[in-house]
Amino acid sequence: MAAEQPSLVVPASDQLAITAATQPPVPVEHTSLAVIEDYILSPDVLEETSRPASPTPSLNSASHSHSSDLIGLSKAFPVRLQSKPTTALSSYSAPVSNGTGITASATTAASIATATAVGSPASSTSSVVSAPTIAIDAVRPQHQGSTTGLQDIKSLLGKILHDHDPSGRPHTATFNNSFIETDVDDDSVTVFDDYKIHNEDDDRGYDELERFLAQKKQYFLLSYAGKPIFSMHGNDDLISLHMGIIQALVSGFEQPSEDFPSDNTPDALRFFTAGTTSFAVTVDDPLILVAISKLGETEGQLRTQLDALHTQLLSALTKAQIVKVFKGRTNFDLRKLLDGAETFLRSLTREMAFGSPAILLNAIECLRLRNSVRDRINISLLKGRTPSLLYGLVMADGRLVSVIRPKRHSLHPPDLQVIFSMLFHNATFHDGREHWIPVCLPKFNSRGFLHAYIVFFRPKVALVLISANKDAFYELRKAKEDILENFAEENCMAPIDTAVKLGRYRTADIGAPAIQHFLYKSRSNVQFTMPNYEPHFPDRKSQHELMCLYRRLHAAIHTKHTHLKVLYISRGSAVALAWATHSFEIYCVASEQTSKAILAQGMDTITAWIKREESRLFISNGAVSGLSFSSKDIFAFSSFALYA
Amino acid sequence: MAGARDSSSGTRFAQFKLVLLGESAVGKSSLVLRFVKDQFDDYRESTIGAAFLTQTIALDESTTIKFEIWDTAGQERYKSLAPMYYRNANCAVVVYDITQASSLDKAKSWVKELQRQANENIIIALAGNKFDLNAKRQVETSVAEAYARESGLLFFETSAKTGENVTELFTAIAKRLPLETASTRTRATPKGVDLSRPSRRAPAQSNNGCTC
Repeated sequence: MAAEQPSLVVPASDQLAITAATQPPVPVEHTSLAVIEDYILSPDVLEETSRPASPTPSLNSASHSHSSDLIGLSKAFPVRLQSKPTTALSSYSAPVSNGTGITASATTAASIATATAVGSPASSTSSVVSAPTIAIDAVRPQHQGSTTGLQDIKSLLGKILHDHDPSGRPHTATFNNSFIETDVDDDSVTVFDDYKIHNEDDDRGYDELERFLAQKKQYFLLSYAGKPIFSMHGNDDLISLHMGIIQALVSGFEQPSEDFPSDNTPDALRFFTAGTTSFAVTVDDPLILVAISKLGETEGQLRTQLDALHTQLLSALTKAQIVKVFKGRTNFDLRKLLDGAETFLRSLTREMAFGSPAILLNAIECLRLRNSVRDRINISLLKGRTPSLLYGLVMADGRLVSVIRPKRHSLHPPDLQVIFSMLFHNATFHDGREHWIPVCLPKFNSRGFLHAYIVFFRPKVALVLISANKDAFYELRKAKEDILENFAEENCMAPIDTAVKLGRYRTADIGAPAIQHFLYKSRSNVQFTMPNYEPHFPDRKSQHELMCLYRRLHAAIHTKHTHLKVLYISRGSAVALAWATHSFEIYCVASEQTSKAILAQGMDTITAWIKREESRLFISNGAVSGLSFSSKDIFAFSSFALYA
Repeated sequence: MAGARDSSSGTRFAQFKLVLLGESAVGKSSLVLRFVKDQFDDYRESTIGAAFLTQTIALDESTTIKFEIWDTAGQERYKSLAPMYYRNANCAVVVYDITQASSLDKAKSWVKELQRQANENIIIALAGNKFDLNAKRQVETSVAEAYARESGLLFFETSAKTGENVTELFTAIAKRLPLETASTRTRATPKGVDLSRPSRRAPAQSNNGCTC
């Protein structure tokens, strides 16, 4: 099976399928879905969708999937109504509605409870009323399913056809030409602060509650007793009310079910939708984490985000400390202890709401460097290491340059992401000072703190030296001086500076000018690469739209039970092609005029280029294997995949 | 970090360890930033853990003093790490915010802890910061001054924002430091404080540039 080989050239069959998809002259909804062959993705590929694949249909499954299908369709409708219908568009609606259908119907009595709770999607006015509705519907969703689906469509259509939402506020139609109408729609509230589009006659009568409820993205962190710990938006009064509801829902689902008195396994609330809003819940006693999204994200995507948030929280407090403070004091206010660390949670949630490629793909990005340069950097780090050093990292502009680690302790991508998030999404360490901070790397050890020496020795370049010894500051400070000296001797600074200054490569540089942007994840390395956002996506708004598109592609390709390996979509002003194999996944975006052939050719060029450049783009085994002077217990770190 | 001046042979070069303590958001980092870089940011992220800086000042023509400054985080959850920073400190600046009465209470508890746990000859200065917000003052100068006097502390009301009394504060500390016992040393051989030694009350200070 050609498709199962991690081949880097688009197999002929793939291209054929794509071409075939272009053939039908009339819009036929199902044809442009370029499914190559029956291709079962291996379970590890689908790690994010961790729902048990119970074939047992639940009591509610029929009504659920019905409503979800409708929701899925409704997502496609706005585009179809505003622009001329295209085959590709409708093709896209198919996998998505399938996906949500599966999500909603994967209800098993044992471990998952999926509730369809309903609030009409645009009726932000009646929030306090709608919140209890959630609770009621969650308990008996089967009575609500199908009708609410229709309601959703109705209100969505109403919203699109008239240029007013139900609350009667006029909109600035800023995003008419955007290709992600359903994501960045005509609302005044956006997912991140520095990109606010206001209504014409702003803010009068638009109170805080409305603003709070209209957010596209929300994260809650609360204690198991319902006490607020962190919220992305909203003031204390609003938060505590909603956190109380969440807490009630969570504990409600853990009660033994009356319908199955013999089944003593407690249910856990994991995911539910209300209209177009999705809620993912993680219960990790003594904490409850909730991600709320109106951006059409899947459960798997939201869960990845919750994991990142959880890891970030643990990095500040350790699991042991959290468990300890709540022991016997279920009403403990963790915010007291968290003081100062919310800044990291806040910057992380902002980044995730905006759309972080690293978190979407669950991967790390490396700075592209020549092998010889990276070797010299590794050597410099190794030469400067001291007995207390556990991990040594060089990071530049949000990308990994080099890392050394002891033989028996690999560095896990989530732990690395915590460090990235602290260093680069947030100004705390960008002051030229030397920092010495306790940090917990939960995947390394969630019970205790490590100590990190952090210094930005260039404006965007940081050296991070991590030790288990809290008194190692002066030792590591000396190591830093040695390492920087080695960098100078080995002439490592200039290449790093140049790489940072030039930014990422452009698609035009690699012979694929038709592709405006792409994401490529190397699965074995757990790393990704992408070109510069410029020139096609110069501002935060267009970048956010791009990320929303990637999120959709990612969702479609990662839907459980999907047979989808190559996916072509066309919406509004963009066309996109996604391709997943055993060894990589790639998502390419091009302008609407681009033909499928050129798009596929571009993708072909990119994968071939990445194959050639692999050792420069990713930190893999090959980059450091030549080193012979490593001591017994430390060697230059190679693949992140080792932990998996 | 802050560059030490060239010290021609014969000049005294002494190095001291200074730790800043106090409640969060009283302006510890701003005070140090003013002292080290003569800058002020209206908005600063909270310090996490602790930050390390150095600043060298010329006390007189023949004496140069280098401060190794530990700017600690004020948050409660870092409380248990504080001994690591003040253990071998020669001097400490305990900061409170003149517009927050509670921050003086916190400062007093830090002073008590230092007097009990730290090097017994440690020089402690009490700094009432945010002097520029005099209109919102909650702590009267006389009250804090009286407390400082009876506890044997240096006392200044400072403003990291305007720079008022910041240099004066650090200079006054430098003048109190036991220079005569400090070894004469050139820049070429700066000696750090060995934190890896076991924690003990009033440890020997022989390699600390100061034998107080």
